Amino acid sequence: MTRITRRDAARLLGGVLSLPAVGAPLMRRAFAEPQDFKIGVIASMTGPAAPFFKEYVEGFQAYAKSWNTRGGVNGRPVSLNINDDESAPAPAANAYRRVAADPDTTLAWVAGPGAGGLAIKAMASELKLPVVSGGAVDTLGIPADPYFFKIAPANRDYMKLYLTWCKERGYKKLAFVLGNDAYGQGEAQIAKEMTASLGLDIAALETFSATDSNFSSQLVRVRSSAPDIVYAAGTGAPGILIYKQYRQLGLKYPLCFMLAALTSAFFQAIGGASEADGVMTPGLLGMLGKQAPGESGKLYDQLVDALGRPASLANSLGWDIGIVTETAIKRSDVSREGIRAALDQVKDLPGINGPITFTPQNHIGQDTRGLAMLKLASGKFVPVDQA
Amino acid sequence: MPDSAALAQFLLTGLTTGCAYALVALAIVLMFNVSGVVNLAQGEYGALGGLLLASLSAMHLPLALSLALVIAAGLLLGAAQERLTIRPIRSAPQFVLITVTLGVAVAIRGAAFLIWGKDPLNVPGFSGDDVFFLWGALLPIQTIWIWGGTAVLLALVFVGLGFTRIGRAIRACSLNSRAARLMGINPQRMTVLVFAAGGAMSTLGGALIAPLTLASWDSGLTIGLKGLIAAIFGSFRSPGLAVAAGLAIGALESCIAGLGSSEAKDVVLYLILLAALLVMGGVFARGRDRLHVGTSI
Repeated sequence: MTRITRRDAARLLGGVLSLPAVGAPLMRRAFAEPQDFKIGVIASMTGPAAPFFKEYVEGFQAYAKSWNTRGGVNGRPVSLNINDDESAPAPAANAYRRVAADPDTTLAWVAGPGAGGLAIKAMASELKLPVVSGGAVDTLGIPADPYFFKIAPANRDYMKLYLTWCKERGYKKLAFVLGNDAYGQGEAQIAKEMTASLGLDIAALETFSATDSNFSSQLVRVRSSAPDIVYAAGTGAPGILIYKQYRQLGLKYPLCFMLAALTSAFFQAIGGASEADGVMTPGLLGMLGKQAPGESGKLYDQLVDALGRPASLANSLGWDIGIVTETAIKRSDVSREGIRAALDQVKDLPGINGPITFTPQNHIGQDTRGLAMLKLASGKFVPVDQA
Repeated sequence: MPDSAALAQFLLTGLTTGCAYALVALAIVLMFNVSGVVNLAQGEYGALGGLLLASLSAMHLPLALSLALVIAAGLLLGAAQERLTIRPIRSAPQFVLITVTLGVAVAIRGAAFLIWGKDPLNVPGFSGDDVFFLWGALLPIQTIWIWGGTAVLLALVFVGLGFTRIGRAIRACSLNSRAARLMGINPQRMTVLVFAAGGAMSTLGGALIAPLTLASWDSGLTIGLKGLIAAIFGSFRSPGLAVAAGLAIGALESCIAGLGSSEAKDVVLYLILLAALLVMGGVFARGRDRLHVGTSI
């Protein structure tokens, strides 16, 4: 007869007690609801960039809600795992690494400053988790990383639209006041190239540094060149001061500003948005809301329905990321590699801010079709031809 | 060739910016002469003055009270900098003292960013935002406040240094602090006094110019750098030369952008300054000398 020792009894008891621990997850997996389709969101929820990118995330959330009412991904509800990048590149890169390490996450959405996006792009091919990102930095999309996609038109497209519009309007002598940083000089280069091909003249090309506070020298030179229209690009203090000094000097030429300059801080500093009435900018269709033409306006209405209130530009960009993601997933086997390959094939997919197209060489996403010349009228952006 | 109105525009707007550099340069020279320390945080006082005035204006306080509070903040901060960061390491080598002032600059800038945020703040003009003509140039009314305020401050400093007991004591300390001590002057007290006065002068300068330049957490770097260059032109000894250099730098950068090329403005400006400094034979070539204010002690 086999004797059961105290040690054997303890082992038996341990085994019985551990059964639920081992079995429960298996039971749950067998009988529970389908597992969520997890999207890792890396966004600036705190830090200086948070006010803009939180609205991006609201666009993501609205899209996920709308997507789930259509059954999500093959019946699996879409859930967002939000990670804060603190508006800085290092936390953004860490968050991407964390999200990529989760085997249940098949895709990442990114909404943060360009530097964070570039840090993620540098790791995307190594970690092989497809990313769809917002961002105004062209280098996010070109050269294309196989796993990193962005939406919104390229910087070059804004200048292209402006110069084409100038030609259509009969403005021939153009003046520019641009920063001496990489962005401003990039714009200067594009302007020089394109004005020549469009048969336009550069009457004045003035530059400034980000720390300048006295722009009267540049503006007096602009005045003496007697241009048909002036384009100024300067974010933060330079943008505000250029506008104020332009008005103080009594310059009457039509004035066009780069979109990024026209922030709430800009309007606050000049005494309200209506003080800038008449100022033009090449802007995204999402800024027009319901007035956006064609498919953009219809998609904007869907966004408003999901949000339950009027949507901002950042909301609409977040929504566009949702649109391209859902389409790519429908055309894929829902694996990371499958989604990546499907994103690479997206062509002329309607978005609020214009059709979205990716090619293996170009992951910028949108182009001049997502832009329109806008004008401020009574403190609001309207299409320039309606103003 | 630009017309005389354009020339006046370049020159007068440049002189206006130069006033801020001049006040910072003057404060740096005074502090150096009494304490032997080049205060690299001086530009941050200017930024702080603008930011404080922006907040006080938003609270709709009367202008005179706002300016008094800005001056008081400069006085207190200047005295605190001396008592907390200079005096405890008074006997440390020069480069350590200068590095500490750089640390103070970074701390003030960081605190300003945390308190006021990244966006530049608007400060309304003291007498509105209208403009006036002078020799064909269009200038904001605030320009008169800047020129007038700078002139008053400079007069106070030069008269104070030249004709008052405290001024004579400060100059005595700049010449030989040990001998001054033997004469019954307390050099430590003079050092605190000069740091406090320098702080007030720079915060007021920053407040005066803020309606034209906006108030921003990062504006102190430029004002400080150009103020420091002006102080170098004064060899850290001559307040008059430092003030003149500050005004000249403002006018020069504006004229280069207007008459030459805005693209080359900074390059040309710094090349001219570098050449001028080399011609002068080096900053410290003549060693430390007494404070030059045109009168004897």
